[in-house]
Amino acid sequence: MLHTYPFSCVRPRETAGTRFIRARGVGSDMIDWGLAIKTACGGFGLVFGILVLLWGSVEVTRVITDKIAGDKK
Amino acid sequence: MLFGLLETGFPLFYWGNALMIVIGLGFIYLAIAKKMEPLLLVPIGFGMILVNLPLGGMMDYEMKLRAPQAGTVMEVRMQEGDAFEKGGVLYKLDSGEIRTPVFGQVDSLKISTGQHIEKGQVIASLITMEQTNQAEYPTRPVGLLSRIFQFGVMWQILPPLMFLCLGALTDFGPMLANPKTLLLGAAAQFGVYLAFFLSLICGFNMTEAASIGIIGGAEGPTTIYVTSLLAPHIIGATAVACYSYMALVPLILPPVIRLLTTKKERQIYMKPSLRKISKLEKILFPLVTTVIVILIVPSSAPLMGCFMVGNLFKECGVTDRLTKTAQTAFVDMITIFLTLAIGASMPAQNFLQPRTLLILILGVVSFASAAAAGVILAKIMNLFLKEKINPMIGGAGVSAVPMSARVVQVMGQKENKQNFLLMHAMGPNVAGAIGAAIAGGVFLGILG
Repeated sequence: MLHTYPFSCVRPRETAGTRFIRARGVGSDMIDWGLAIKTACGGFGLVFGILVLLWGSVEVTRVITDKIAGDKK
Repeated sequence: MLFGLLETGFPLFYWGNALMIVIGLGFIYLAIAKKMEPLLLVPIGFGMILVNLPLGGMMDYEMKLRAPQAGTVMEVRMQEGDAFEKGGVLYKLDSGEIRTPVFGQVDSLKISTGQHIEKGQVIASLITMEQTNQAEYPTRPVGLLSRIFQFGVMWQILPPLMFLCLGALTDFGPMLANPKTLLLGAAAQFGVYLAFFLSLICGFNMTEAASIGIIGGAEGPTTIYVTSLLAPHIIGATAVACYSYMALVPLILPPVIRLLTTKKERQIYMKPSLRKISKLEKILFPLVTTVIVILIVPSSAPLMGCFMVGNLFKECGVTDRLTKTAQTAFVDMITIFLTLAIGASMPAQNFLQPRTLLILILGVVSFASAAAAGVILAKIMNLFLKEKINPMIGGAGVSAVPMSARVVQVMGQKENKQNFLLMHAMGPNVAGAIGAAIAGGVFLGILG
């Protein structure tokens, strides 16, 4: 049986070699930084904007329900 | 072999498995002895132990390995039953080497020396515990937990259903009474995007960075859902980071809040009584939110839709049976399946990588910066508000509901015994849950 990882085993050279502080596989020149900035800024702006919109809808709902409750009285 | 009869796990057990078992035991210790999120950490810890006992088969996937190129087999480098690491040489052809794309064990070999093979021909059956890109390397679950993981998590069924149960457990009343706290939940999503950027700088690709960033949303189902779609190979690390940091909120939040606030600010008194919310408002909120959010971000539909339908069950008052089920038996069932499967997605070979440590570090950065952003926005809002808000409640925008709010309550009481901040902190807390689901949907809409 081929035991590639008993207690004293060293990882094979083919899978070794990852620098400790960088994840494997992607150089910074391979990332579309334009898309990354758009995703981050646009995404955060969208989340913020939607929650502001929900704030507005909550206030509008409150006004309408208060008016309905007021009319019923 | 034991007495020549059956194969034991000892020959394949290595230091990595031992370390993961110790970590799993550590989670169980924290859950039982320290009472830290026991419903999550006990099954996650036990799942980690199960999957790191070799040959248990609980998390096994079968992969039919196809030849990437044509050629004649010159040498068969492994035998049936051999274990291998990712990139191990399986066959030597006259045209090159065929390496294993995953770690695992050889189940069966379909070809022998001297045989000619064509590109795309099935040449071996491998058993692996690694999550693969199914388009590139399709696998079939053959273990108990791999089936639960595949059909529950990777088919995106369990996370939205968990969100349904969370919706049934969530009271949006405090947020509706003080809707400006929605902004604090929004601000907390800054941590998501900061971690997204930092992950790119650290060398992760866009989909991995999004899966790491969403940890800062502090919502386990959202993290699992987004990662299962964008970067399933790191789902173990991101899920365990998210759930662990949710359990560690009492340790993460206070230093961040103390660093960014003065004693005087922490003592700001907030009146305990909140506006009474009518039943109609509580019924309309999930309906309006569903329509608005899903029209703008359609990819958030599974999470937001399930969250809001669960809340509607709770608030409408005519579906008590559904509400009770969602709040009790159903949520417990989903929790068992989801957390066992998440725990079992962490075999040592996958988890003990330098990038896992990076993910854990970026996860805590995401959490801490989310809390910081909420506190900072609360302080900015106080520049314009007549009735000041205690900026500590901004830290509760990290939506580990209700732990963040409880932490803020305890801190508030320490600073000012008259201050009861729990209900005020619940506003940003539940707003953060909505914000996290939206942030997840945005990532899926852009990168999915």
